[in-house]
Amino acid sequence: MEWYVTLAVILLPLFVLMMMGLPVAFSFLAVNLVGAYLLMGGFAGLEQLVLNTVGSITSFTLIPIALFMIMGEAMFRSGIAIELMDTLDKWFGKLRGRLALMAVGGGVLFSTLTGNSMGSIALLGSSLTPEMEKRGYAKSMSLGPILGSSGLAIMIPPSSLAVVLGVIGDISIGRILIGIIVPGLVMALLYIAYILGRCHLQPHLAPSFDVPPVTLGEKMRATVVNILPLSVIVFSVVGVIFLGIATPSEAAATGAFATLALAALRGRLTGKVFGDTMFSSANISVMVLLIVSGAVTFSQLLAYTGATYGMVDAVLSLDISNEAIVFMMIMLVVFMGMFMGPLPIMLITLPIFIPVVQQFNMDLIWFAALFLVAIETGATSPPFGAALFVMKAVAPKGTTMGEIYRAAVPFIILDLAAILLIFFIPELVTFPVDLMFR
Amino acid sequence: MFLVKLRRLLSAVNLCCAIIGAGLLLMIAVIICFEVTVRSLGFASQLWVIEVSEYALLFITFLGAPYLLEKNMHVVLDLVYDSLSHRPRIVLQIINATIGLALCGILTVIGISVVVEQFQLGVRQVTVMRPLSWWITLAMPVGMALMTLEFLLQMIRSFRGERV
Amino acid sequence: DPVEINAVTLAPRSVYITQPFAQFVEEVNERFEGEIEITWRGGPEVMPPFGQAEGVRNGAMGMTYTSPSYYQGLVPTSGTMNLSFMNYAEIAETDYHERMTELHAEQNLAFIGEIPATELDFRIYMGEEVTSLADLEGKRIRVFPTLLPLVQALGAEPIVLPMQEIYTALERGTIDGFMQGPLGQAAQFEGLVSTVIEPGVYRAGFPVLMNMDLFNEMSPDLQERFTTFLREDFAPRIDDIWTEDIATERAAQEAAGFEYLTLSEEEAARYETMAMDAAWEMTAENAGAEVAAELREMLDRQ
Ligand code: NA
Ligand code: NA
Repeated sequence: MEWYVTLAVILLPLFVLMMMGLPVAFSFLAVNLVGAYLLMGGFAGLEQLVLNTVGSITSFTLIPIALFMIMGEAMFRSGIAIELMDTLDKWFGKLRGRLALMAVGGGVLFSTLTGNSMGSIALLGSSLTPEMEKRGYAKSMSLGPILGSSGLAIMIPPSSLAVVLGVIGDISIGRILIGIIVPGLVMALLYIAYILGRCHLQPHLAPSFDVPPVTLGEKMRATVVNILPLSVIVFSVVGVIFLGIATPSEAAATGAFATLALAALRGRLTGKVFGDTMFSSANISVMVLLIVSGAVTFSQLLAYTGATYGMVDAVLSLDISNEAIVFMMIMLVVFMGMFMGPLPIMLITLPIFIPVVQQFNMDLIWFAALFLVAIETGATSPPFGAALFVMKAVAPKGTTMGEIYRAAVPFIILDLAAILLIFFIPELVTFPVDLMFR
Repeated sequence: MFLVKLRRLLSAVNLCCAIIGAGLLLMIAVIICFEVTVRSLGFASQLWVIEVSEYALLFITFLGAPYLLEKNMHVVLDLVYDSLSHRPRIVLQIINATIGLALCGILTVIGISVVVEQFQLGVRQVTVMRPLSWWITLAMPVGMALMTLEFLLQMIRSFRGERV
Repeated sequence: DPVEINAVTLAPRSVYITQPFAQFVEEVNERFEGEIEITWRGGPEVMPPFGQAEGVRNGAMGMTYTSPSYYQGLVPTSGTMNLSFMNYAEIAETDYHERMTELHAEQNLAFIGEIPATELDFRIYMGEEVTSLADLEGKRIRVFPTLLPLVQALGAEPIVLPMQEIYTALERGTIDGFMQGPLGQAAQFEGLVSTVIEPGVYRAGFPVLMNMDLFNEMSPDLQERFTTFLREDFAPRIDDIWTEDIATERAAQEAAGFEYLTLSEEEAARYETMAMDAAWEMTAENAGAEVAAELREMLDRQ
């Protein structure tokens, strides 16, 4: 069978099942079950499906997602997030889109502490979106900026995916980590420009707030009371990594602990708040993990059929210029990201792409940066980008998938713009790297 | 009458499992903080922490999933489904419950068979603690069995024309 | 009809560690045309590395080219393939491979043979300068479980971390070093590693396992010719293909600022003994003292 036929035969049922309203996790599982039975020797294939599913969840790399969920829920339920926004309103109430900008800022900030975009969505989605909606923000201005900026997690060090890329591609991890910073900041700037522009044109998307005459003293007091303590939380995550006290995954736990401790110190951590925080963060983790495991196993099935390799070969055999081939490789990564997780995509494509890029005499670090932007673009792309499902799990009740898709689209376009910028201005990547590693 | 009793019992079990899951999540946070503290005080790294967290994550997932299914909280692609009128929606409900029932039923049976096989062969995890694998795999059939019952109840309700 | 075998490997295609297997597949498909046909499905993207041997045992996959330490939970003696300072030809003279065939068969796995890579040993890479083995005391070294006993015996502090975290952990000082093979480190860790301890310890060999039912579909004659091809023809040819790569990598590591700490002959001997004793003790614990002693007899330098 041609690769595109195989791909269609596998993707179509998945799409139909999801459209029928079967939960996403069970849709993956159903396709995986039938696929494993048909391809991997009947009963033995099903046994393997059980082993692979179990194996995909017993992974330490997933633990930060669950722990960031605790942080986000605790911030939201204890009122810490609300006070943060109130304080911001006191200072910047007249600035349209201030909360959306804060989401991007939060994305950048938290990207310095997590290397996983799902963790970012878990944290920002659960702590910020409910309150943003209460303040009249449209979904496109509440969910979108969070989806967009979540991808910055892998663009700004530490970045677990950058490390994996270095290991699989046999490229300097240090250089990749330096190389991706400017592209990450470029993306953040694009998001900010877009938010300011769109809020200017459509003010109703992000209501401004009539700042009541607040004295400077009052503003300062609110800042000291509500924002400074947050630095404790930020330190408990970023600081501990920086000082070598904890690894990035462990930092999610110290962050969760610090958030709960801060809530307790302010007398907000009642038994109910604590119980609700734990119960609902566990629930959301379950939704996300079940989908992640289904998606991982689904990727394994696709890889087994050889359809993904067929796709890769098809791109490489195109009769176009070297530059165009590299561009097509990047677009292929975006496309694969719509229905596969980052790790399988890396395992499938990198061992084949890296030698080709080398052979074309192009800069590997530049390619790595493009690759990572493409990975995170795919992860937020409809219909199956995993980040979108994570957002659905954490977003306020009643948020539809359609709204999430619509909120994501502008930011995907911005990501594609970032890809083009990096593609045509390689210096964005190579200049800082040359500066650091002369 | 029997169904009402089953519903109540299953709800109680589901809730109980979900609470255990939440407790396990708390445990993960606590033991990782413990490891970080112990290490920063200069004591040896607690080699079991990573492993135990991984296994706990698996149990959280499969113990919590039945409760979410009961409460309809799993992530659904609602693009078409939500805009349907009552009748087609009930039809889809029946189809989905049937698929779910078959799926979870099969995975329960296969899961048990894997657990039994691992038990008989004495297969261990290739890790520091080397626990017997069947203890870990067990999470899946337990969760799947509860979800099989949950889908069964959903199916019955759907046949009665109720929206679940 | 040929026996059709779906194969999976510990690493993806085009990665250096799977190159010998690619060659194996090619040669087998050519030499045993009409009798055996191996289809290489891929690596960890197809099946998680630690589940591949179990997948072969239950029949979801026909063959795997894997790491001996990945399936010690299923065949507790499998890790002994690493525990020698002899090369393939020397080990092949003993009954080691025959004995491994039996031990695998007990768990319903067909052990076809190993694709050896004796020179791919394990080395200690440290972020800060060390001048002797004694300096390792109290240092945090990232290991995978197999290497844990050695690191403990050195008085260092083993720490288990996911691969994705090694870089940041070393950069920030959460760990002081790690233990890995000789290849690929210069490119990944330039600027972070300052000392590499030489010599390395243990050896590498990658077992080729088959599902028992599938293996039994072959006639006894074919089984014989197939295993003999791997063990007596292919394996000896492939054992020393790494010399040049290791030399190139060594130069690259030195260019990247890695300093080599070469142990004195005496120190090296003590280090080797320590490594072997620690690993065999763990094998005895997990697989039984008797079989451990029997296998050690074959694998210890004569
Ligand atoms: Na983005
Ligand atoms: Na990051």
